[in-house]
Amino acid sequence: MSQKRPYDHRDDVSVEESPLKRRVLFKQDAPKDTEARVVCAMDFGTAFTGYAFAFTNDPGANTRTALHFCDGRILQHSHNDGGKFTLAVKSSVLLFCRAISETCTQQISFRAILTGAPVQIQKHVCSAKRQAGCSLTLHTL
Amino acid sequence: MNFYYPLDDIDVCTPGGQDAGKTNTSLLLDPGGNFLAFGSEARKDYYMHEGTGGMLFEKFKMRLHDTHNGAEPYAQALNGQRQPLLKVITLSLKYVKEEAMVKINRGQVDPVSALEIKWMVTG
Repeated sequence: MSQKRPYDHRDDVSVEESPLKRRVLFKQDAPKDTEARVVCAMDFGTAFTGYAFAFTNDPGANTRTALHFCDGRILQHSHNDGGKFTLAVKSSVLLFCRAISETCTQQISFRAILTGAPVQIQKHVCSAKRQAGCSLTLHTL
Repeated sequence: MNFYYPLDDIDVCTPGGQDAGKTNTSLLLDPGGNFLAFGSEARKDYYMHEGTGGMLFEKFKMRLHDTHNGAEPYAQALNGQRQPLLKVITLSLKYVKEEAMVKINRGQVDPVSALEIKWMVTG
């Protein structure tokens, strides 16, 4: 009889690397092209907040192109630091995940976009989202 | 492969209403801890009705780093009163989400539900 292996955060994560970018996705939350009618990105910054959205049924658009442009617009618009501050400490990630969970119900899939997040932060988010029961997805660009 | 990106179809918005392109991350609660306003409106309302006990929270996200010691972190309002940080962040995210839902559904014959939206949060 096989024994259940202890949880390993690497089970949840797939990593793709190229010379230009490093991309990390949680496998179970990987974005699908067909589901969303709208992509909405919000940047909850220390000093300023904004959001951007795009419909995915516009000619030439799909979820991935909408994601791409919402990413770009919200990052450009907000001088975003990639969430390094919020996600630097595990306990702060947990609190942030709990706030998202309480706000939006656990059924809604949220993505956090980080720029060059170190592995330690990825571990924090993995662990915190489990504790918070939040379907947060980490995505580094 | 070439893609056509409809740039003009993407709306960038400022919850709470500020013309400069983004809004202050400011939350105004009444003395009972209930939501009053978010963004530049929160700031404006607070200073228009200063002294009535409203709690204006700013830069509260910095308090996330107070979570080290295991105690529940608090956000402190400009008038010195405190509220749980979780509540302050939750009410802020909730406001942004609800405003986004209203804006997304403006003019929609077939309303979009929150579950049909792929949400992203950067912090």
